[in-house]
Amino acid sequence: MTKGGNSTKIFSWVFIMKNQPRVCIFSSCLVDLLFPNVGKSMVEVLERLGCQTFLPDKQVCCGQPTYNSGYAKGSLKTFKNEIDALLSIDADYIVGPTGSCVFMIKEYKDILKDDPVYGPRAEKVANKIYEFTQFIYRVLGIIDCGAELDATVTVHRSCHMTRLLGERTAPYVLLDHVKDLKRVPLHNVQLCCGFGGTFSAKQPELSTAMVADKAKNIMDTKADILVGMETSCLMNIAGYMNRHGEHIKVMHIAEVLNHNVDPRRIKYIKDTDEAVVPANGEGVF
Amino acid sequence: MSISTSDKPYKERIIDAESDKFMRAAVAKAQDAQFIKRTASRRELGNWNEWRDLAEQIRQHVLKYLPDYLEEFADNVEQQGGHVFFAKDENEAHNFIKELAIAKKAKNIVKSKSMVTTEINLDKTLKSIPGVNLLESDLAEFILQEDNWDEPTHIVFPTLHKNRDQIQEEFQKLGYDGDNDPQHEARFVRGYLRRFFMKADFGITGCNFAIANNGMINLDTNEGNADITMAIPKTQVVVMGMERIVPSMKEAEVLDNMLARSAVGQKLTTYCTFTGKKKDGELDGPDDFWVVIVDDGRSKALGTEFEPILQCIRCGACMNVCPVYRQVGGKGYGSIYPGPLGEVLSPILGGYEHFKDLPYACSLCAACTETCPVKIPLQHLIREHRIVEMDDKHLDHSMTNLILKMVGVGTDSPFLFGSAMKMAHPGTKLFNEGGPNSVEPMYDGGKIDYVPKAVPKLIHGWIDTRDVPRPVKAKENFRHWYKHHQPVDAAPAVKKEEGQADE
Amino acid sequence: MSSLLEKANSKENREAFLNHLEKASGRKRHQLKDNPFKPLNQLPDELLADKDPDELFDIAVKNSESVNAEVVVKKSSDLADYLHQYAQDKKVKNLILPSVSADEWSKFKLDQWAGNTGVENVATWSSDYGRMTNEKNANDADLAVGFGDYLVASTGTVTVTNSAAQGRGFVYLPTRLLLIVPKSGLVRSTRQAVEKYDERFAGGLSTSAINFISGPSNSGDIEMELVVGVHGPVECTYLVVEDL
Repeated sequence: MTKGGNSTKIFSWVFIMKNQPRVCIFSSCLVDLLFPNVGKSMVEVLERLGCQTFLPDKQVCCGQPTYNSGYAKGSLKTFKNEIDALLSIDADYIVGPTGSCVFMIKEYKDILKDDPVYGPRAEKVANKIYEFTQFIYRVLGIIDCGAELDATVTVHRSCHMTRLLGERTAPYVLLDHVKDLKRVPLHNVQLCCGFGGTFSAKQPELSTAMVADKAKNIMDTKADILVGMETSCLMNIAGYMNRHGEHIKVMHIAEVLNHNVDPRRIKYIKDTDEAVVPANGEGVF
Repeated sequence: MSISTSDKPYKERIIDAESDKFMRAAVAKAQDAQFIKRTASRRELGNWNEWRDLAEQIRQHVLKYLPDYLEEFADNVEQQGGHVFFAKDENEAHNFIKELAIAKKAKNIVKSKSMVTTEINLDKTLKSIPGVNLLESDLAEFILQEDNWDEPTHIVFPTLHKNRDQIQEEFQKLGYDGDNDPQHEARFVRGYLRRFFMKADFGITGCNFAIANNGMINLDTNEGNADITMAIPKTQVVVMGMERIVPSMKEAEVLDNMLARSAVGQKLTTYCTFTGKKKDGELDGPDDFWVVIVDDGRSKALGTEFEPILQCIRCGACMNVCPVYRQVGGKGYGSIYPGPLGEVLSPILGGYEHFKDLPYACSLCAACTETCPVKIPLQHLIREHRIVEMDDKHLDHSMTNLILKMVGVGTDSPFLFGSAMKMAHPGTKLFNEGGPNSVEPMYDGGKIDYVPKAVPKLIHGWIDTRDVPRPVKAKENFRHWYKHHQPVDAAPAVKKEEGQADE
Repeated sequence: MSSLLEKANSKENREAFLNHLEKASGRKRHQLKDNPFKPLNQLPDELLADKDPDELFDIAVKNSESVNAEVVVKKSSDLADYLHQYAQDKKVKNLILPSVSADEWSKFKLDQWAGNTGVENVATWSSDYGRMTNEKNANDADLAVGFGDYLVASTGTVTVTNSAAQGRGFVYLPTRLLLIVPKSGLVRSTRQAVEKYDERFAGGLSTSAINFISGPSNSGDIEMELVVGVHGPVECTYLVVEDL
């Protein structure tokens, strides 16, 4: 890690907390239906880091399943409901445990740009929504969440978070500061796991072949735990591995950052001699 | 239409391709090798993203003023004694070249690799002229030709689906008695084709970039076949897609560098040539210089959200990073333009009816968009095609269509979603065969690993190969927990920070 | 049926096509004059601009060798000896030379060598012969010794201008290609080389081909394994003349 040369233009990490930040939780439908512990962990981590959280009741889903399948018109009501729900709380930030859905919500402003009412509202949402690790690292300026996990992990990098949201380093920095955690590289980490939303169900031949490759690469790392930033990818990879009897533990990064926490270990980036790593890493692909 | 490479239905092609183990291993190996070379060559250049900005700007500028640049280019070619023909579709293009070959009494036609000539079905048209010999001179295209005009499966590496043993066997029919070493096979082709080159009287090349301000053609190759094609025959025909134009050699030079690094991880291709009609005093090169500028459906993208696909410089990087291409190779797509580029371009050139499945052969992972040297938002355009197909053309009448429309209704209603959160747990009780779990702790609350046959295909698509955790009970879900939880105390460092800031 | 060939270079053919593009794009034609291309950055001009001539030359050599070109640096007074030795080492039987003027040869102190190369058969690419004789001579040659203009550091390239003295076949058909290039022809980048050609075109240069050549011909078409020597020359040498 090099010192200085912070070239990130997207986020200003120096954030002076005049007040406790008010954070609206975007839970995502998969957390609501299937992964309660991811939501719990996210909330506990954020509160421990000084955030006041709120969970708007009327939120449902970002609308990717239908929009990405080509049903643009049929998704508009979903978008508008989500905007209304997320703006129902006067929060400083909106934070969610999934880069993919967060990016979809950021896209509302382009899709609804001609809508005189929802265009500006979508813009407002886009300006304050962050993915969980991005928020911790780049907005709160935290480098160590105080967690401990004595295990060897490998990380599945999510495509939408890295390529569309443009955040490819924050999760790695945070994981590398988890006490006793050893991270091993995943071969061909850049390849999609084969989830792709409805792609996984509409194109089972392609999707299964892709996840089979991913599972093999994960098993080859001999890691104890697979960590991911996206419940959907984890559901896909784990779903295949469980069906095929592959032994591994799967954790969302929020669960890792909430594991065996000693609050005294929590550290701001500015209190270390480390420089902020740009979101886009080396930027050559 | 000639961009189509198969009459088989999409699903059949996918399954065929997936069963081809050699091909899949070859593609994976090629992708991995190219990843290393490409990334290294881009890093070596430095400022890669700023170079992409420049390349994108060049391409977008040219598209914006396309008719003006074509006019300038055509004026310059004509002034130097060349001929320009504008072909609105593939028939006009190949018929024109056929007429020309007949008028010139061509006997031995030699071609260098060009995707647009494949697109306009030129080989078949020229072979129909009695007494004409036609030879593809690019090593890969020659291999395809000798295998009964097999279809290309990659725009830069057309024979990615063939191995050295298959090629050895093919060459043995031509008199090759060497081993399966690619070096020896290539050297055999050098000698074999050189005899043909020496009697070639009609040469056909593609065009990487046409130079508007001097009427020259810029070609990038590694083998040297294009340059020999432009040296020996007295007549040369250049076939170019109408968008392959740049203002001057300065912009061509930028794109040549971007192309080589993106396509093959080289700084420049071995031969990068700027060429035109033979000048007075020169002793070889084309006396007769013809440029055929082809639309063939490209103009359908102009002025639409799909216009950026015309920025493409055919480097093939998008297919070299594509996880779907990795599984099915080029054949699965059924188009001479496979991969992400093909998913966007094929429906435009060949129509939605024929290529409606292609935009769905994509997980929208955006690796293509990230690697594209001219910054085409490929995954975005793929999704735009889906929207055209579903919202404008209503091309899906299956159960899947119905289900996704219902999902649309379900996700816009907090009430329906609330009911789903309540009902999902009891509603999924039956879908469990009760096998052991190997992955922790995702299935501690149960799993769905089976659905009855009668359940829609879409659900089987997932459940037949993958488990799903069983939805949690309403009283154990995240929202229920949140309502009842006590906020966690802020950490000491945080309190100190907030306190400081408060002062 | 009217002949399609008659439509080439016709106003109707061109105008119908371009007007269709105007209509399809919804953008008026003939707007370019007021909106010429202005690059948003100067990266091509800045490439290797911070290097001094020695560093630049080292980069040129390294990049040339990485494309399998052999780089040899000699004083002009040593060129003849080197070429004698080279032809001997490579057992060259058929040599082809460009029909450059005696002055050009003597500039490189090669006037005597050109008349006495020691190679058994020496052909000249020349207007004394017809097109196919020249091509045949080049095809038979196991070595062509010709002249390049510029050595491009960023890519390891030598550029060659097509002329009556050395044509396309001269460069592409022989088994080996040796290009003599003055060290003063060292340029940073392909951008710099292109700018020099643009200047020379403006000054009246007449050529139908400028070739940027980076090493011997090659291909990765069979299993993406790089093989050297496909259609063009199988060996390529840059003979850089230090004092010119």
